[in-house]
Amino acid sequence: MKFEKLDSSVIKDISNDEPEWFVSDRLRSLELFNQAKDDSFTYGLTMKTDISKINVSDYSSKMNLVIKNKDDRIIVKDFKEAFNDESDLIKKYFMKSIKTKMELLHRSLVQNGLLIYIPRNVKVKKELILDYEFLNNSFDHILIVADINSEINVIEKLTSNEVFRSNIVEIYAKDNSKVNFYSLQDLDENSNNFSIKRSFVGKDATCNFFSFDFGSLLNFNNVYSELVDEGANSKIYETYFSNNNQQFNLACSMHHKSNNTNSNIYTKGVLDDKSNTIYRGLVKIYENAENSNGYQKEDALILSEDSKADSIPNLEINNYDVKCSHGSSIGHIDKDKLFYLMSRGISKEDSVKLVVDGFLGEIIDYVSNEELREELKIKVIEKIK
Amino acid sequence: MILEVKNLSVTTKDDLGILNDVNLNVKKGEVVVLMGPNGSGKSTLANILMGNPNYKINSGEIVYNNERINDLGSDERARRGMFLSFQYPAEISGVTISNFLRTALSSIKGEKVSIISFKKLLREKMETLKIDEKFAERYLNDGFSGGEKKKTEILQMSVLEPKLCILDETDSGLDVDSLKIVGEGVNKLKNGKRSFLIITHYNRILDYIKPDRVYVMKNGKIAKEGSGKLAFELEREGYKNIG
Repeated sequence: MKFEKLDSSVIKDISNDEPEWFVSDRLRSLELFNQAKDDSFTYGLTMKTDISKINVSDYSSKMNLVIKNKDDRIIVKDFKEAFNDESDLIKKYFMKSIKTKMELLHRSLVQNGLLIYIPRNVKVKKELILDYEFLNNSFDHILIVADINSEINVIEKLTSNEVFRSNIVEIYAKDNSKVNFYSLQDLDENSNNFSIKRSFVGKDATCNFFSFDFGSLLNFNNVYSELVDEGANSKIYETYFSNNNQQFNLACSMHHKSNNTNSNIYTKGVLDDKSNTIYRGLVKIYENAENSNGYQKEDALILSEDSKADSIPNLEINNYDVKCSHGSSIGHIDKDKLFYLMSRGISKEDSVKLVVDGFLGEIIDYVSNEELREELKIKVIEKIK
Repeated sequence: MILEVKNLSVTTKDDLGILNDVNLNVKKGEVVVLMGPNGSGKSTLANILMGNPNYKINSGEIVYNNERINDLGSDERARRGMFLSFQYPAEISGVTISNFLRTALSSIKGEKVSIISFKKLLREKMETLKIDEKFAERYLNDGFSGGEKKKTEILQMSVLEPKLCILDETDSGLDVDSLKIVGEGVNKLKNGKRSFLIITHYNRILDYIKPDRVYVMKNGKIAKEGSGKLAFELEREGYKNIG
């Protein structure tokens, strides 16, 4: 991966009207980025994701964002605007810990940051819809702060035209709040996507991710959930469908840092043509997280001879008073299932469609928004040629 | 004649012989029962009639409705009116009974069946078979009990209205009440034109369905052929003296 012509003048160009602290953080991150050794994303059992062909030289974001169903009681603002009145929120929550080289790059170049704040006791039932269309390379960010006893459902839909995209979503679910974040990643297959989604879940709060990865040539999606306080809950539903020459590198992890915390990771993927997918799962239980439960399951369905899947589920347990399990399966469509469906008059092609549709449908059926559910089902059918 | 099996020899894909020179026929409107001990090849015959790719025909012919169907795919056979009620139906998670059956009915009719008229049809058929309405939205056979699976097979049969119904051990694993419902379900489908090939080990289902003719299979061969009475003789005397 190469980043050309990346120096402080780039940062100057993109940071008009920003507070001084924000800009100086950019510059410091850029310095650290230039010093950091290469993150190679090679983790896999038998394969690695090839990022050598990525070459970025244009750093100015250009995109359309359409926001639908915004409730009057909540704040949804671009950072540029939020710096006026909500600067404290950004200062307090925005990128508090940076772990990788890609995050340093993101911190130095972030544009189109979006702050979503849900005040105390405000429960928004209708899903907030964020419709993104990336027209140029993008370094976009979403920061969600759900205050005590609040509730929010956010749906992001992503499309693009030949872009490099770096994205971070950060969610702070404060005590007793409830957040569901849905992501439909449908970038074009000449785009490369690097996304990190992170949540920090408070006392008796819940944060769930529903990630649907269909698009882009190289797709990195890292979903991380930290169960910070007692009684925190989190689920990650990761669904993907790769085909043609797509390469997906997916990671889902749960970090139990307190008592009575519960997590579940459920991943389902379909691979076709020459695509490959590396999946890593981790449930980590810290020493002081007694009486916690963590489950993970990954199933991959392979439709072609040339596609490949690597699945690496991990458990890291530092406390004995816990319940954890993991399971993974990788396989082709069961011949007996095909025979059964075909014996009812359904053609082979349509039988495969039904099985795949049902396989992913099991997760899609968890989506409460009917419109999104239908959109996802159509997307799946489109992917099955 | 709706079905003629002529000198049929079948092996598994690994060339293990299972059926050897089988001859059997079913006339239009007839109820034919195929009996025999476990492992005699009854289920294999049912599967090869429906085109299960796990088996291959080495010699002989399957003629359905005056057409040789040896090389037809399972979907083509179903579209011509054949139906197999499976002994062990596959579980298809994520696919609801309603969605699956509408797809199947549309394929067989060769035209899209509207959701409204389909739902009405499905509700009627489910009511007759005393299947809870909620089942329509459950995933096909997923987590069903043995009895629920068998009832779902009969439900499919009554919705798809085939010309030839092959029932593979549909009566096994059923309690008395379910057996009665399944038996009555099959009887309702009898209309003088529709044909049945009923494979059974115990002949419990014959308390409800009276056969016209009986075949007995043993060691992959037809060992005996007779009238409906033969079934009851076998019930008393077993298979020992046959073949």
